[in-house]
Amino acid sequence: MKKVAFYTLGCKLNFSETSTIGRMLEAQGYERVEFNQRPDIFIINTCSVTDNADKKCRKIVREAQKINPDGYVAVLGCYAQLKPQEIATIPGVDAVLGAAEKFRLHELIDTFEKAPTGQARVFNSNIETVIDYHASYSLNDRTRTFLKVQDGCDYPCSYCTIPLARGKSRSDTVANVVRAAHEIAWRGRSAAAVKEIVLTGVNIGDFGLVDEFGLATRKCESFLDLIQALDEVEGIERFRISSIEPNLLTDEIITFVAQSKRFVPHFHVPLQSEPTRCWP
Amino acid sequence: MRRRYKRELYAERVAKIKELMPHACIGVDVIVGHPGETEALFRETYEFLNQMPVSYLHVFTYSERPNTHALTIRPVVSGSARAERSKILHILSDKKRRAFYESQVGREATVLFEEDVAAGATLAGMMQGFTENYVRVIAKYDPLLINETMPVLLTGITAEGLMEVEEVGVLVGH
Repeated sequence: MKKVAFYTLGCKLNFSETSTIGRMLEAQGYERVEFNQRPDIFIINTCSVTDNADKKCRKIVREAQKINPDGYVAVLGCYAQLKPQEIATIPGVDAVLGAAEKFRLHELIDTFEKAPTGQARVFNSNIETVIDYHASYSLNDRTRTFLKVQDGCDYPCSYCTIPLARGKSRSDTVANVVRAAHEIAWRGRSAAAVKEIVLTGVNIGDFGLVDEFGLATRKCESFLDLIQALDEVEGIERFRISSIEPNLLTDEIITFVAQSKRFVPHFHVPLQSEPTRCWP
Repeated sequence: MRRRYKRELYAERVAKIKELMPHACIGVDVIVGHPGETEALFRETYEFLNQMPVSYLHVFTYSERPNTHALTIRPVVSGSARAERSKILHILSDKKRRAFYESQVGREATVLFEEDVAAGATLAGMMQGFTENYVRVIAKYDPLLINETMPVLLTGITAEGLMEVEEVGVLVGH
């Protein structure tokens, strides 16, 4: 059985995606181990918001090579989407997977063999074409789970590369997120009970955009619809809204949280600073 | 115009939350040192946040990213000014958090206790958790409390800025 280890940089969304990708590999027969337990395959999920993304990435690759010089090193995620060629030239990197390709890791991993030339394979698509949505949630911590409900962003904030790294705003459906919450609650009946779900995404207030045949996104449901449905999920004690843009935090959402059974009175609202934002 | 609208909208959202949930915790993401942020604009941001009934700040120091609009904006803020502004807002954040925690002393809340043992030598033998409204609570380590929600009375704030509690009915804070 091949051993695989993950290293995750950056946000809670990355952590939830790493967790789900890891479970997919486990289901395929890979053994999940810690980074220092001499895995056969190292997977580094990167960030482009973090300072020195490049430096951090290089350092982790070096560490991986020290731990297992024969180990296969795959770099994926946001920074891998933005700078695939740069990462491919880092000594020791064997594969680079962008925003869409990271969710194909389970298909690609069986083909991972170190090339004799040391040449890295690059799997990357133009971010404009990255429109698929992949549901995820973390299960590393028994107290709380980060449940992904949305991905990508259509806001052109002056300082931010996330739209280039993750693509257009798109979401899961209310029904799918509720199903995931039930699944988490169901897992919670075992010893590893999860008591709190934190809703996670890039711009979660923008929830409800669903891709139609790869042509355009359409607003089908709203964030309010989502939280109203989740509030009825038995077995989860608390839901927390992680971060929501002020223009999307409507009176209806605030009023609902105020009288809800499970949504806690905690809001995280980006202000950024005066000259930084371009509001839609 | 855009700025005024934005600021008013923000203040109005915060006011609405506090009107319906007076004890709600409100966190703010804020960037310092974005190009074009003059000393005067930074001070405006500071004053605005200082007046807002928010509970803590997440301060990000601006750093350049390829292919973003911000790279075309002038003047660029020096590294030392970015660091200084970050420090100033971190101090403001501590002040806000402290005031928020103080407003919570004497209230009852429900804590979800966590597995992780509290870090730091002075906190050895303690465990921590969060209330609904994100007050970080400290209590004597008890494996039975891990991953349990527990009604508590918030009793006071430690030197580390953590909330001490008494379990409603039973003392667990000492």
